[in-house]
Amino acid sequence: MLWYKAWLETRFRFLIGAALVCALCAFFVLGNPFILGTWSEHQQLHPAEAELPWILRATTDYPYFIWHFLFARLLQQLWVLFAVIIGLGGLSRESAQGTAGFILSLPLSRRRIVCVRAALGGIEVAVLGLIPAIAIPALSIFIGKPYPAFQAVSHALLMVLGGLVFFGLGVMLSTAIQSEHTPALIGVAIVLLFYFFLSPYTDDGVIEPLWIKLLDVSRVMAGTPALSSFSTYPLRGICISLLTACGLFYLSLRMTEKRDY
Amino acid sequence: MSSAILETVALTKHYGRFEAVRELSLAVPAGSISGFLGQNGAGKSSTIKMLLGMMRPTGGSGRIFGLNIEEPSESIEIRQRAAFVSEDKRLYDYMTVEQMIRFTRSFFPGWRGELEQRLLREFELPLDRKIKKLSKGMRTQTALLLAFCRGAELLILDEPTEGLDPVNIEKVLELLVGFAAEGTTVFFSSHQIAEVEQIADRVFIIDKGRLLLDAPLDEMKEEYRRINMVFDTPLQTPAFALEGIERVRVDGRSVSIFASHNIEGILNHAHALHATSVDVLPVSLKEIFLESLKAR
Repeated sequence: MLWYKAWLETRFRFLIGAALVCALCAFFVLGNPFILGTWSEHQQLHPAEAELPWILRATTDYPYFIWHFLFARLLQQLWVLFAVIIGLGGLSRESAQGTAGFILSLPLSRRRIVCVRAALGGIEVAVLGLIPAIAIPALSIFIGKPYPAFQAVSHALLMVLGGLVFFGLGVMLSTAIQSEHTPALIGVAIVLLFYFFLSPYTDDGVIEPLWIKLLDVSRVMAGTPALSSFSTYPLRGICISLLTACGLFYLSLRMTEKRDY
Repeated sequence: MSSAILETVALTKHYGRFEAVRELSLAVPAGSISGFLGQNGAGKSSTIKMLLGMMRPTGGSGRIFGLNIEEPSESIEIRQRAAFVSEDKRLYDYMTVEQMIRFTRSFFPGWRGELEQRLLREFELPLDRKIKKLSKGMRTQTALLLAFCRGAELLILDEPTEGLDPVNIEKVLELLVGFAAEGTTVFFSSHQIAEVEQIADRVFIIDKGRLLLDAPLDEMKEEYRRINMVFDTPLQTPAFALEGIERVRVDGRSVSIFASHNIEGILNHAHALHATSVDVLPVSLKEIFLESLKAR
């Protein structure tokens, strides 16, 4: 029943996230012919303007188009936002809401409460990340441009594995800050700032400063446009991200076990 | 009464430099109804939270059912056998009454289904209504139902009747007496001293984190007295520095004494001082509580 409670707590966040992920995938997959048409029209109206290299590639390379808009940018950003939001919750939040007295009167260890909540949240963010693995190849059939299922699954897995650190951040924030809304505000602000500072360096060919190279979780999550096999995964980046996520979770667990409620 | 089911020894809790609970030692006899009285901020809720493992004591120790309250695995067993209703009675707003019951029931193999049905009828709780849509009274009733039906050996209740109307307060008090008759120990804090006086066997009075008084209610009411005296000439307070006198109020020729024991000795002293009139009056628990706080 602890799982059921965790589901009741997070289901709206998860379902809204799932709906938005589906909508975003549908927009860029089903809207692909329209977007390409618009680019083409623009080029015809302004023939003197040099087309950006990524537009040139996205026009002819459909998997690249999907990667550019979804896995490397908007879908990833949306997923990260929901990974943080779904991570929010737990005993500190219950304390702020006044329900900690009830849950802590039940014959449960704090460890179990935290682990179940985090496990369900983890499953939800994984499902959110894997929805595109089904949605993109399925929707692509309708526009007559097949999208390789392996590619979709690979990118989705990469996004989830590389991005679990953001879920860990959500868990950590709501453990460290005993407030109902402040962790959410800080979490969303961190995500917005992260992508704001990162955005000038996301285009191909732009020289990145060292701090971007070190902290670019986004690049790890996106991988390369064509993931032909699992050997092309940025394994070091994934490991660092997963270890950081585990560290944040462990820290949250220890804080929860030691805190007075 | 048998041995103590709940026991603390010099239990202490500091919040920074503030001492919320100071070396509190109390023993709640098994099968008793014990009232835990104190003003706001006296340390009642902190004590209860320490007993249930929600807070770690700064010092001292505590045992419930012989189990150490500080040991996480033993604390889980304590919570398996003891039920708790918190002061604010906050439950999950997003659950319905039925979901709340189903959720709580899943943790207690000894859940009392027949009692659940009876209380649902008596409290007229709507099963399909979300907790956030319940009135304060209904929320309290739901929290009480969730505690009562656990089949617990010990009920720890923080202001259990807060938000209830007089009819439901009476129902709850009757239920508590019924549980005690079945062998359940009840340890409850309340600001409603009349309720404590109505059902408690034993009373603990706490102030500024310290235990002021710990005695069976009958014994307390038997021994505590107010003695009003009138003299021919005005007296000074030091004239009544006797054992058993908790508080003396001198108003000209009138003297009012609040005494915990040694009533005979005080009366003899009054006669020796040539009191023209002496009245010995029984006192209520409320009076004992208030005078105990003033006497500090």
